Amino acid sequence: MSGDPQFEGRVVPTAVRVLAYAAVSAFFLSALMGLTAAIRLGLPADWFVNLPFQRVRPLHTLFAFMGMILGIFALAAGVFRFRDWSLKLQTSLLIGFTALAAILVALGHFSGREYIAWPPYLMPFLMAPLVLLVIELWRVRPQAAERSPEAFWLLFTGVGLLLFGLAETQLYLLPAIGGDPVRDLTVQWHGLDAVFAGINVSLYGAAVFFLEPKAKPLRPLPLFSLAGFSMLFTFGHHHYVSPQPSFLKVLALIASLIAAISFVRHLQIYGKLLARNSEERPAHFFLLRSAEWWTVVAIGSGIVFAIPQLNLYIHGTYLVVMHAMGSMIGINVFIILAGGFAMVGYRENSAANIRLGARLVNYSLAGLWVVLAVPSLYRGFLRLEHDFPVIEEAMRPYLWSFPALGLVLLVGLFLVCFEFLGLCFEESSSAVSPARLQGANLDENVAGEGEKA
Amino acid sequence: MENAQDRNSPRMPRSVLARTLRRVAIMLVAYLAVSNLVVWSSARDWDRSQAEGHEVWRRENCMACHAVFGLGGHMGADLTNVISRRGGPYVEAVVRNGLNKMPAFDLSSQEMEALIEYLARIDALGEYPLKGVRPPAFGRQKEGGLGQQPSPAASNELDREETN
Repeated sequence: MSGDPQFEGRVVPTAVRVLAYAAVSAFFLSALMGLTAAIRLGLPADWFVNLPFQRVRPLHTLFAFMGMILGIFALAAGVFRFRDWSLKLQTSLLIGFTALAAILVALGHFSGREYIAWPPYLMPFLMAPLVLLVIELWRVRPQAAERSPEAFWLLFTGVGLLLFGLAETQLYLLPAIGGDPVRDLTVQWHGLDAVFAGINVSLYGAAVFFLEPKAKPLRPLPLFSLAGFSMLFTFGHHHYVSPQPSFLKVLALIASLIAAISFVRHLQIYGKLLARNSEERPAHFFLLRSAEWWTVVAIGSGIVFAIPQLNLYIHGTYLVVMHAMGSMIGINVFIILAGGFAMVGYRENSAANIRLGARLVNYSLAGLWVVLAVPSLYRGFLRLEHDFPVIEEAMRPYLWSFPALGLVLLVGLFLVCFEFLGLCFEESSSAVSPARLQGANLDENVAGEGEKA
Repeated sequence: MENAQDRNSPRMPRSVLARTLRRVAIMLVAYLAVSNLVVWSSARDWDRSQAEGHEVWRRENCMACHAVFGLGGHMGADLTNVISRRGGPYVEAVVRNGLNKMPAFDLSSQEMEALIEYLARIDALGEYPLKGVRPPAFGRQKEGGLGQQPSPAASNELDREETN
């Protein structure tokens, strides 16, 4: 089997393998629920009429969300050596929470909130492992910062944002916030934005640890300030048209446009990854390069969607769904899978399946972007004059693409997940050459070094 | 990295660790400051009596299919202005009997009243989807208030739908 040389000879703890296994299983279940929801949306009413969408949708988002959370824990615990009891407790709490939340949602006990779908009384079971992770990261801070300062601040900040953001999403339980619709909407989306920023940032940080052999120095202060401002204020662009305070909308617009810097930078990185020699590429490089591509798409589309005059037509359409799907599947799932393969290794003869699966996921996501762009804009224009029944009728011919391409996506994800799940409890043995590790680099500087070599 | 004895490794200047941790602290403190700003700047008015309608909305997970100000599910209609465009009786009829892919919900009269009151409150806050040519990019505050009658255009559409 092949893996990453930095894990050569190292036994990946069982709890880490269990976390990785649970993360990948959660993604697969999420895709299954997503396909079910797409069938319900795209096909006539008398098909699957007994399928309660009000339960399928929260199950879909719950599994996707927990897949990412489990992935963060798996990657962090794969890089650092956490205390055994703490790791086992984190694993048990996370898996127990996921199972319990899924059962309760399936039985009709919801929070009734966007994305954070489980009943609020379960929240302590999710917050506790995050607190444990913060404690473990604090314990290993000297080694972590030595190995890669930039990766460590990303990972640590991400987990902190995740913890704070989750707490903020529960503020609606206070009457002064839940009883004031404008305040509720504004606070809720600020909390959700922090949660997803936390997930993205910590996953990216963990990926840098995994996939870059050289220490990544802290970015220059001006870039850090811009990134921080952008991370803190973009939330307002989720609902420009709501009565949230105007200054938050203006700040959101500025913060969103600043992301153009990040867009250019990721475009350059993707260009360098494309230029890599094919002989240097391990199988998980393909996943990483795809993740980089979808990062470019996500940032680019995010900037375009944040322009208020365009947002009027795009907000609340399937294009926004695609922006979210592309980010979660194309970036986060691929990063977790790539990190997983780097950690547990893979058989040489399974590389073809990994590449094929990743290609199918890429094609289906690209297909969904293309076939939903036109009807989404059409919907955006139609709603200026018409009400929902007219729009629904006009959209019907286009929605078949959701389940059709969703099925292709599920097959692709299955191929990659199947390979990973099969390997999860096998011991990693032989290592690959350092040249192959360089092929997996995300960082432009390190990629440049590889090219020189 | 994997050895606890390496924790205070002399290879790394302490300033790197300090700078890294300072950045983490700056981000998290800034986040808390912005959270406070969001909480206090977005207050409009709140009323305990609205809590019941919000509770019904959440308990039945209406958000899975419906949106408010475009945030939520896309399976059903956006309900921001459903009261002014369709009226409370329409909402009650659809919730009780179901419509197309929407199932019927068995709500008590008190719960139904609370839900309609909650939606009327949302309605009074603004307009979505915005109608007309070149609507304002940052939304439009509604001039009207609670309890408006549905527009003639909306009534005609409702009649057409019921006939179908």
